[in-house]
Amino acid sequence: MNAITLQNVTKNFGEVTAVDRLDLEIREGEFLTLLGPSGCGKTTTLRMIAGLEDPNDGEISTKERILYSKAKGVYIPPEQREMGFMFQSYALWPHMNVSKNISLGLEAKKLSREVIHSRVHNVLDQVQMKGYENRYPSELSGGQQQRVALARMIASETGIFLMDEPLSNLDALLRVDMRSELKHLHQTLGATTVYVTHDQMEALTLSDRIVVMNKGRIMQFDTPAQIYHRPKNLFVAKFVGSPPINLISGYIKKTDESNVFLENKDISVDVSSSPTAQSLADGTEVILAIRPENIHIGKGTQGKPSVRSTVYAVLPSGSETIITAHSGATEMRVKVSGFVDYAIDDEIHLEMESNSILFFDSTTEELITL
Amino acid sequence: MKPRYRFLMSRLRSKPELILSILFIIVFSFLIIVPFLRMIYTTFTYQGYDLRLKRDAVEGAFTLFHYMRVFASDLTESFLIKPLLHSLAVGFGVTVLAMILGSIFAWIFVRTDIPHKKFFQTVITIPYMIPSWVIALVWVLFFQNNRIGGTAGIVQSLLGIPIPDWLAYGYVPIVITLALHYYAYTFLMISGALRTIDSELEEAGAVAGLQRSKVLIKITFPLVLPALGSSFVLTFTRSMGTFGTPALLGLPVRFFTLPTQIYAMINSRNVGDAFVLALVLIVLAVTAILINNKMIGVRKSFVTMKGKGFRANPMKLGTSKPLIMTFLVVFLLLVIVLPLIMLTLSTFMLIPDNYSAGNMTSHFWIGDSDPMISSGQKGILKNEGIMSAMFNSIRLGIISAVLNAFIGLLIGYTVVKNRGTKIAKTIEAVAFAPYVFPGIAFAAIYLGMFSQPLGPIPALYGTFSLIVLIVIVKNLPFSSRSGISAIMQIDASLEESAVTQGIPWLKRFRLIILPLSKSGFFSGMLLTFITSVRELSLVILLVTPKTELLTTMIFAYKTQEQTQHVNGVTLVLLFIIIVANVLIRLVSLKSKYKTIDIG
Amino acid sequence: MKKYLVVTLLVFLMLVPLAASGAQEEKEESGYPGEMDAWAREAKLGIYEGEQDWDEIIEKAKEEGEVIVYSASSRMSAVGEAFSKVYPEITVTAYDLGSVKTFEKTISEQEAGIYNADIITTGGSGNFIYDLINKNRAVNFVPSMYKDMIPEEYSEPALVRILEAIVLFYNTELHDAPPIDNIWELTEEHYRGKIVIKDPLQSLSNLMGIVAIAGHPEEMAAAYKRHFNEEITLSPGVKDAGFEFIYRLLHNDLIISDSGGTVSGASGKKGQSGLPPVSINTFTYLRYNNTKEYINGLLYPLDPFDGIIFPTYTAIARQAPHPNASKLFTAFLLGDPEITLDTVIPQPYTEGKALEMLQGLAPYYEMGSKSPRDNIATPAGGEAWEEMNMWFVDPEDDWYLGPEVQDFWMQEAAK
Repeated sequence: MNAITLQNVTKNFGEVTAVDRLDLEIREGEFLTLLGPSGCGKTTTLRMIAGLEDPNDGEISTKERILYSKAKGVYIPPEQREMGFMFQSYALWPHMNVSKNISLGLEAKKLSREVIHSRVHNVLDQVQMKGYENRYPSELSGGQQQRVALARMIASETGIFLMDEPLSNLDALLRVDMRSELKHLHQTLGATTVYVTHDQMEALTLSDRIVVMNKGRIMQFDTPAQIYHRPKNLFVAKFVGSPPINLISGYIKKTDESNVFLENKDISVDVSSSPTAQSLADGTEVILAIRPENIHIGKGTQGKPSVRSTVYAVLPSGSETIITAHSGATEMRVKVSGFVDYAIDDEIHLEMESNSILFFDSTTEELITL
Repeated sequence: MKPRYRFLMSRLRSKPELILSILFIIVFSFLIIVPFLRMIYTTFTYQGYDLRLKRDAVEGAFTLFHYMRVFASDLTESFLIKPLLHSLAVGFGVTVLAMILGSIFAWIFVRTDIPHKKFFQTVITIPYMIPSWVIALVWVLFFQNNRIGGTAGIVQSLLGIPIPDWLAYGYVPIVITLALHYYAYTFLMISGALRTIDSELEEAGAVAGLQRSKVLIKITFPLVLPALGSSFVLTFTRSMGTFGTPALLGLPVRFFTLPTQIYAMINSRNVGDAFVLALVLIVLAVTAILINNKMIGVRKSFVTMKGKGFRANPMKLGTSKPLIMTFLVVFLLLVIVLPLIMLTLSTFMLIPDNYSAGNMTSHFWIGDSDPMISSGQKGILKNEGIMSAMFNSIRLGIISAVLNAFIGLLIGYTVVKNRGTKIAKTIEAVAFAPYVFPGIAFAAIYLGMFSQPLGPIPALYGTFSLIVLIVIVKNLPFSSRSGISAIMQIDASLEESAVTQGIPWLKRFRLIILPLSKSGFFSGMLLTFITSVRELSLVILLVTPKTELLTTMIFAYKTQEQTQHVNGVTLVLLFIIIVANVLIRLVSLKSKYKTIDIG
Repeated sequence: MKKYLVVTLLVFLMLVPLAASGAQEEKEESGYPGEMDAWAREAKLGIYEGEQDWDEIIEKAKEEGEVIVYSASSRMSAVGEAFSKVYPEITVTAYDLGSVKTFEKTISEQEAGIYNADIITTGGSGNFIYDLINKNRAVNFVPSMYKDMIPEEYSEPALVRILEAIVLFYNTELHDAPPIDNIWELTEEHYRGKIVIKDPLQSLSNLMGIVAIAGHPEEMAAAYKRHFNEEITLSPGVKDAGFEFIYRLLHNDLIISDSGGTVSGASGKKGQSGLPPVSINTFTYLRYNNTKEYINGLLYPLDPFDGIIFPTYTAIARQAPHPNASKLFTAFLLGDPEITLDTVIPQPYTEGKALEMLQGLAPYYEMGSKSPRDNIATPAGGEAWEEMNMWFVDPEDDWYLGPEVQDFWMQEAAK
């Protein structure tokens, strides 16, 4: 049973279509991330699920009931939807202390004082904010505020957590910490979680499935692994992965049955070892994509897909080194394990791993599959 | 010694805010603190008037005479207690009513989907531009009864409904007419606060399961509370210190307030007692402010300035929409259109209160001098005195608007850059102090102070500069506040980047700070213009025939009982205010500088 | 260290203005302060007046070429225009300030060492005599050709240029004759809420009227006895019969208005019923009978007074820059000396022949006013003045009793 279902959901803001006929099925207990750039509609979608935004068309339902349906004339206001929501800005009520921030919603549910009291303490414990009951939000650091917001959401014990970029206001170190906290919490509590972020790293590390969105539409809806290794289109390929995937535009040149090259005015790459390349017709315009970690610096062996380039910059980062190199107008990045050193303008051979090479149709920008 | 001196001076030069602080402290002590001290000094010494009551008194000698008279004599009840109680009652009544009205309107315009919002919002604040006693005049026109003899007002004479004294005069009409004037003020403050509430705070309430009403009570209301508190205090202080309306509506039933008593005393040159009463008003105002700060102000910085403000869906009015629209339209008609029509009509009536067509004349507008009519005063449009007064009023409005805006900005800069220090707090507090001074007492002090040359400053008595000066000082509370908030909007890094590039202070001020505060600048200037042009009690003691203003002319005509001229010049005044309003709005719309949203 | 600098500056600045109260001036033998003495000698004013040589005065006046008048009246500009028609070489600048501000402006300016004014003319007997004349802020000047025409009470200690009176009006539509003959009847029950007066705290002239009542305690007591046939008993805390009258009036729901027009309308408007109010007003408001169709009648004879006369004084300011023009203007204010009781003065008084004759008197010569000269007739419509038995405001009472009466008024009015 799906925990949440969206059917044909559309949202317009005046002339702008923020969400375009979205269909989505969210499984119970899964951690689903809505991932995409600013303005892609992910936050709007989340808010529509919560009831903070009204769709213009479509239907939103949980396994128990319909939350919104234009056709059937159903609308359940947010206060009755029984979902936990965490805001990007945390939205802690500044005039109430931590304990009250958490208990306000529980009081609205008419729970007994003892239950409320114990729940408040439990959640604070879970987010390691025990002892902060009487503090006011203005007295807390960003990270502490975030944890109180989290506690507030958990305390509602609703089974559905909606989170709108909850980590984006934290500094890098804290963010990494909190990611593991969130993941741990999700697994402990088993709640269905819908998570919005623009940070692809977050999406990859936390999610069971990811919905990549752009301009109100779903670009790909898949597991992190699939999204990473088999992006359905150029947008997903470019958006996910750090450093970004390398792209080479060109056309297929088949000299004979077994030899296939990808060529553009600067380079010629022998892609004969790629089965996908073999299936393409001569002259087809394609974009070759290869992730930086799937390239190694070699000697330019014959028959292997490799490119000759000049070193542009070397960026060591402790566990690995990223080298930016230019081949004419084409720029490529290589991720190498450990520490390597090259000088600017050194000539190197970039050898790609054949099975990791992806081809995208130049016109449709979709992945070419066998 | 020398190197230390040089070090100090170079530190000083690199911190323009320190130089400004010192400057402001000096200027403020002179213009605000000293007058206040003089006021106190006067209350403790014998004045000329007192010698007429107590022939053996020595002028200038220390005495508790005034305090005894006001606080501990047979006169106490009539000097102090009754007027004080009346003033407090008026203050509370007006403020509560104005806040209810203001809140209702604020809610309607910020939170609901009522149509034509822009139109209504502009129009709803018009009553604030009309001098409050004009509304009182209209009330008298409608509701007066035979108490003073003669014919009754429209309601009683045309509709035959007898009007009881308590409705025609005294407390009830005073509160109603003042509230109809001040609600615009509370409306602006409360709607401003409602607008800046982060809507996510209310959404968080909704998703936590709170019903709409609970969200309002537990989340929205506490967040608006500081604004409610401020508007309460400000309205309370102002309405307690109003002179015009209580004088007009209170006199026939002997409803005296502190300002009317102060005015009567100053008129007979009894400054000693007058200033004691003025001090009472000041103490009341300060107490109100302190109470407000204690109860609410502690957590003042509630309003999350995260820049998003209120953007959630407006409440749908549905079936109640036509009802509310009707209410709004009727309200506006009654409070704005009707008084204006009555005013205009009356300027065409030869014999007042005679509405027959044969009684209509354009004499009061374009007539030449006729000794039989209004003691030979020329029609308004031909009257050189009025034209020159109009010129003076406009001059005053413009000069004070511009200067106040600049000074306010400078004060803002000084206070914000020195934020947290005692100097900043002192400057901020002293800049706000003139708010609690009753205008007429303030003017009386300035009159005394500037009647003689003071060091390098010549005697400013009778000059236009003195009027400009006092108007600027009286407007400081407002302009310093807006200056402070304007500067606070500008992220410090914007100026700091200029500093690192070696740009000197004046240039930074001109090229960075000034342009970025332009939007608040204009609306502040408009408000100062309107306030200055409407000022009466502050300037009435200071004008001379060459420096006559529209408001003082209205007052003079009132003393001479030339009602048509009174009403006509009032219309001229209103016209100027509305034109200024329109002009400034146009200019500020053109100016594209909005506050930059950082982050 | 900076803090101390600032604080010291503060303290210093505070002390300077506080300490700056006018230093006492040194007086000459004449009693005039030094500067004034020199001026008075030169201008031949005050004790140095001597013989008035009008040819010399007129010639010097023309040389001076200007007169600046501080006046409580808006009609003074009209007088100025008329004056300049007769003496084109002399311009008149008249400041209409209202009585309160006339005093205040004069005094404040003089204390600041500014001597701009030539003529000061206003009502307010106590203030004029005690604050201006007695303190040498202005000197009295009576043009010689008028000295025999004006009784001494109207020329000393200051020259009166016009007289007005506080009187009572009654409604002639509902009453054929004055409804009361003794002022104490107004304190009786049937007149509760039926007496209207302009606020004496806002109108100096009405205040003077009230003060005059307080200044005649014996007459008020006698009148009481005549009306009630018994000795007066004073209310607790009340000083004498004069104050008692004020007390009882206030406690009889006396209606106070801020407008003389409204006050005269209270008694004068047509179409009333029941017992119409009696109004206490300035005599000149009778003119509304013509312009506003009121039907007020003068309420006299009335025990103990039919009215209270109050003057408008005129004097020459200390160190007036144009003393001779001032003298000439003063004469102009009194009207052509050739006028006698037989002279027919045509109406309207403010135009043509009448204006030529009345000169500076013209705008003030109206029903309900009277010239101090005993050889000018009472203006048409106000002839009753001559037979009315009226008190005259005593400057000493006005000055010394004034504040006490004001206190008393404020005290009782608020109860």
